[in-house]
Amino acid sequence: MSRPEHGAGLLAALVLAASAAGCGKSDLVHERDAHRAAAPASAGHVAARPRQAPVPVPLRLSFARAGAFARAVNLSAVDFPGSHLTPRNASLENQQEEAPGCSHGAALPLGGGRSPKLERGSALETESISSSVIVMPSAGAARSDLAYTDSSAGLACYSKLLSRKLAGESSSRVHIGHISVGRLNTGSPLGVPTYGLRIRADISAGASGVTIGLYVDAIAFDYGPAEIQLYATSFVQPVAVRTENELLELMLARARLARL
Amino acid sequence: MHEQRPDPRPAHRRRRPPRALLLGVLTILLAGLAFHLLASTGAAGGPRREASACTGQGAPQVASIKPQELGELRASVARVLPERVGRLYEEGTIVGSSVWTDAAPAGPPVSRTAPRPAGYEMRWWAPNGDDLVADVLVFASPRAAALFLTRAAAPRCGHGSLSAGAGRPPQARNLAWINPDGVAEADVYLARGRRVYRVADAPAGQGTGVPAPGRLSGALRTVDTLACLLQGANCTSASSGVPA
Repeated sequence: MSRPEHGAGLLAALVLAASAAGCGKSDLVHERDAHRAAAPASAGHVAARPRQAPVPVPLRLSFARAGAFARAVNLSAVDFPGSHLTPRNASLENQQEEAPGCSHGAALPLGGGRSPKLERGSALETESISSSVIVMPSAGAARSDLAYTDSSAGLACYSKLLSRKLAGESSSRVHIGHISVGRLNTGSPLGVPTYGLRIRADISAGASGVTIGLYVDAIAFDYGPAEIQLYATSFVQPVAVRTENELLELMLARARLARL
Repeated sequence: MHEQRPDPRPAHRRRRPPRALLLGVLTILLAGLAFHLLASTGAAGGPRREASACTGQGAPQVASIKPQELGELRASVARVLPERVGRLYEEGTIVGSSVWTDAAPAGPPVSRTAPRPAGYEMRWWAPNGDDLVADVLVFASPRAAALFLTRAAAPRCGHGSLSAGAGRPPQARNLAWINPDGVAEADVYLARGRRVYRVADAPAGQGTGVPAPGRLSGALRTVDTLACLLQGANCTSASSGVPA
């Protein structure tokens, strides 16, 4: 396998592009939860999904309880051996004005939280993981909010939005080429319905002509009123399915132990 | 008048047992006999003395480490197949017996602070379809590591396996055997201080039936070469491996 010519500098730029693509649905939709506008009620067909058993919510949901639940569930560096914390791309996180239009949900989140961005490996082996937990007012609101991944219109909306954002990341050194967004068939690794998207982008180095694939998987499941989401970003090949499933199982197990 | 002698048995045993009860007792006796026979021959059907050679029973156990220390173990085996040459399909912690049982590596536990076993494994699909594995196992002492290597690289139970010194890395040992999935596999083991490393290759394209470990000469060369990428491997010579 050939390597890019410009070593660390080029790869740093590629990683920056990866972090741009790594802003998953949570980043796009929920980062500014207080300013989120109401979304269209329907944007396409939503496939019927089996529902999981009701999650007990014995106490009134609040911002503080949502935050505590998120802290209990979200991933940390020890969950992804060899990883270290890396800063998020603040400029991208401020560009999320249009994203709510891709979602079906109209309800505002009550609260939640995100994990740090956990990155490991170097050069072509770089991969990163992050997670988020968003607590909605009801289980129905959470399901509705996630359902856009089952909608062709929702996918098209997200693809358009992502392409626009990534196009802004192209430079003389790094070119972001074809971008595809599709449903990720996750099966049912948890015994509960999951929603998945895979983004694949071709990233090439300006001078060398070397093109590599960038994969971003965004997988979510609803746990009562909570949306629990995993983002996995990797070059050349996607993060291993088993790794993704183990991290989803881990968050589900923590959600069951935590008090919502 | 003839006097009838009283039956000395307790009243509840005097009645003649029904035929169904006799059959039940017979069944229980037969089941007990079958259990005794199975227990004396081992669950896998071989002699009991071979059981430890199948499972690693009695081999030194890996140490425990803090969760934060797993990253260094991972890095030590990730270098075996660098730069995305292979397709990584699973990874996680392992214990010593995993090299006998071929158990899948474990994912992260719920607890963020609980100690982890000081063993890590990564598995890849190679470009040619081979199933490649790299392990690191950390023991309490170099002596325990050496003892583990001796046990792990010894011929295994079941179909005839081959064990011999590897051409490289220095002091490494090769093992050709049939793993619990019934697949021929080539391993190389090397001990460095408290650590034991294993690199394994289960070649693609193995048909059904009993594979011959002797066909593994190419895979042995592969694992010997990949093991030279491990830190401290100190490779200087070409591989001879186990003769085919």
